[in-house]
Amino acid sequence: MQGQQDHPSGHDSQSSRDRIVRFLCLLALISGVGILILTIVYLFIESGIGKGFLLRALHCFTGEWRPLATPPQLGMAHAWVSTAMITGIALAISLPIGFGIGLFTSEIAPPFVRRILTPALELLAGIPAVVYGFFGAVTLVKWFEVGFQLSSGETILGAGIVLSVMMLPFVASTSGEAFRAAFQEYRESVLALGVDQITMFRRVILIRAFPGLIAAAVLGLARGLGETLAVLMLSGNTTAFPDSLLSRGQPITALLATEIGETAVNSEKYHMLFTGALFLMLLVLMLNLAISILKKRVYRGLYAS
Amino acid sequence: MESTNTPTPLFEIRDLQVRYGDMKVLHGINTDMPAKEVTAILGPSGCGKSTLLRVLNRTLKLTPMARVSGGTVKYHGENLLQHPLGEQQIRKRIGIVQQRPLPFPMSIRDNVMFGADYHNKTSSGKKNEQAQLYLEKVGLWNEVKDRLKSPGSRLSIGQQQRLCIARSLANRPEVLLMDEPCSALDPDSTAKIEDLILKLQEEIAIVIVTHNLAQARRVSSNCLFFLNGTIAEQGKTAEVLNNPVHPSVQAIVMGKEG
Amino acid sequence: MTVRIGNTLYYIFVWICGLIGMALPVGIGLYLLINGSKILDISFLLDSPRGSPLGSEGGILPAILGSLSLTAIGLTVAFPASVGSAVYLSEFCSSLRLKSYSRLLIESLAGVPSIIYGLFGYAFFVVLLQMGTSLIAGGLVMAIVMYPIILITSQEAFDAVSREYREASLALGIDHTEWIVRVLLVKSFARILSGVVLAVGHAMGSAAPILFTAAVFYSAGGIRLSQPVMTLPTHLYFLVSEGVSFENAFGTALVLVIGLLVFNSMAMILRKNIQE
Ligand SMILES: Nc1ncnc2c1ncn2[C@@H]1O[C@H](COP(=O)(O)OP(=O)(O)O)[C@@H](O)[C@H]1O
Ligand SMILES: [Mg+2]
Repeated sequence: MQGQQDHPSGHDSQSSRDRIVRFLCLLALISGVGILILTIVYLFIESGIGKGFLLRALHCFTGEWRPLATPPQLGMAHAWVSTAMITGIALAISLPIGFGIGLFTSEIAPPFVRRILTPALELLAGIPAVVYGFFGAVTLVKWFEVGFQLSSGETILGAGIVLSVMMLPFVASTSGEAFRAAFQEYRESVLALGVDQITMFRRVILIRAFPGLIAAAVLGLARGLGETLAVLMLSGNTTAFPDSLLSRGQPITALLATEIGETAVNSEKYHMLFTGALFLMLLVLMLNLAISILKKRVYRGLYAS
Repeated sequence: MESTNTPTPLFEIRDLQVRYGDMKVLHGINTDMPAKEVTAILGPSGCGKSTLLRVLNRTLKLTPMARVSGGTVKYHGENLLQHPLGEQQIRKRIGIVQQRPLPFPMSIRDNVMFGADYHNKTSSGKKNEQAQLYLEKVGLWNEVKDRLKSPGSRLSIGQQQRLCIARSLANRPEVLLMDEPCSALDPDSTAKIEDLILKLQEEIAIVIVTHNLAQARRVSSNCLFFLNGTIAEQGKTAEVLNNPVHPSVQAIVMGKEG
Repeated sequence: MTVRIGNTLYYIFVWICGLIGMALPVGIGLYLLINGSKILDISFLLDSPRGSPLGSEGGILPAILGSLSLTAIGLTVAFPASVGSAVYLSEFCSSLRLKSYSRLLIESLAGVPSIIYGLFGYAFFVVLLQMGTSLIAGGLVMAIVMYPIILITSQEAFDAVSREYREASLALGIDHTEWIVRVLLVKSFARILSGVVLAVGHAMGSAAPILFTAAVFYSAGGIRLSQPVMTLPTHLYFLVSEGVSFENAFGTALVLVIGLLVFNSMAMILRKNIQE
């Protein structure tokens, strides 16, 4: 009799129908997760791993992009710099404003305003990237042409500004959650001491919500790095090295979208493009992992004490 | 129908031990339970009463980490835990009613016939007939006959609990385990369920966990008094409750009724 | 005194951020509405692109149909796969470690940029499997984009159904399939539906995964699995990047945004009705 129900759970007796359902569900999981893993593996393969991969990887980050020169130069330094500049601008704008909106929705806003603002932000998050790109093209790009007297209004700065709007709802909702939790925990006991809002915010809430704010920033960054259509339409999409905020550029996603369809399969250029894609994906995967871990920490912090 | 005059008791439980992970919850339970009588299980919270019911209804393994770590349970003289009929048939024959009524997301009629229909596919007309039978049995028919198609969750808590009893009865069980069936109910619904138990004991065995000593006196003939995962005292309900021997049981019985 | 000024500035800053949060969606929405409504009428919805350059006149019917069929194919593949996976993880999988690892993997992959899936789809479906730029290749990429989204929400939906229901159901001696189909899926239906809405909204609007797997600038032929299609987001992209017609671009953007809005609100109403 000893140990007859040793299985912790799940190993319940199953009808023949159950075994079929179980098999089909397992099949679904294996094929679903399998194809996601295949995506990663396939990027490695298509980046021509093995055949001079390290050299290619180095060149990918440092070299110039001159595919038509002899011999062709296939570095993507200009693209990585463009990506860094555009996401940098977008974060610099969307973090303070997004945190402000997070604070607003979690503490300051009157209830009826909150009820309008939350769906409004969802609307903002639901607008497709290509619409943002179009919107930026008919507003910012035109204004920049006039305002800065540029021959073409497509700039790194404009792409960064539009990208910041796209990040805003994510930063706002993630930071809002963190703020809300912190306020719920401390509001009464801190305000009972007679301090004002700014003091409570600086001395207690900010510290308590900090991991959540980092998560919000990382989430925004991950979104921004992978964003394609809007920056493709707004950055100018030129292979020149960007030298100022008002110059044109070509972030890595735009480079991939522009070139891949016109590249011979398995050519050196093809492998180079997939090398760029591979590093982009690894970067974003790492950020996503960081978010998962940070979120766990936020929750653990919530339930601890 | 099962044979009824067998000399063997319904359940023979010997040295039953149950663990949740590393924590031992039942430390060797020994008792016999007779067929067609009402057995009450008494005892403070957390002493393992629900755990015993889960063992009998073979749903213990649905709780993560839970396992029988020793002892035997016989059902009509056969090993309950590896019964040749299989787990699903055992669960059908040994029904359970939980403390919190949980109507399923379907109509009142389908709630009643949920298990029965699985075990025995019935035509729609027959289903209505059967549902009426069991709803009448639990005294719910007159209250719901005009809205058999409406969701079970629209009923009051007391009605929901009787719906859950009807759901178990529709399986035609030989034993009905009831885990504090009245603790969430008002006095009126409680009285209805007590009447029902007295009526049902003519057909099936009932094991009821309760915190209410008066209720145990009213409905049960035998009783087990649990303390910390063991049976501190057992016997005829009147005897155990009138002349408890175990000092802690004495304290509880005096404290509650004195 | 300085403390009070700090507090006032704090309030002002937060209110300004809140107002920006309100102004942006309202502003963008109104801007599109005002400019797009000039062109938007029944014939714009029901006509094919015309004129020279192509797309400067006429309508967007093939793009609407293309978007709908791409999404439909994606959902047809992704929905059973993701809900089945979620059922396996929450109902049949007994290894807690496998559960948490696959969750971590899926959550990480849900955030991978959709252009990456577009590149994968191009290399794998279009080139290696020789599907060519086609509706089926794009639909499969859409399925990959939708899969983790629906899987995660389904798992959350199942987690939200109390374990007591599982015990109460199985205690009647029914099998797992009966419990899954008649109780678990029914109780979590509304939440799964919101996952589907999220995934469909995401897929409908994104151009990156289909730019080189399914989309063409113009397709006269109908909707066929082996043929490329026009879609709303790529049509908008081509109209703008080729400078074909800003007027029609406004109309296309408005149709896309309104379509997503209507779809979302319909799902919300449906969900409310189910929860009753
Ligand atoms: N799922 C579980 N995991 C771990 N321990 C549990 C679980 N369920 C019950 N226990 C523990 O087992 C003991 C007995 O529980 P139970 O049988 O529910 O008691 P009773 O029904 O008598 O109140 C309690 O100490 C309780 O903490
Ligand atoms: Mg209990």
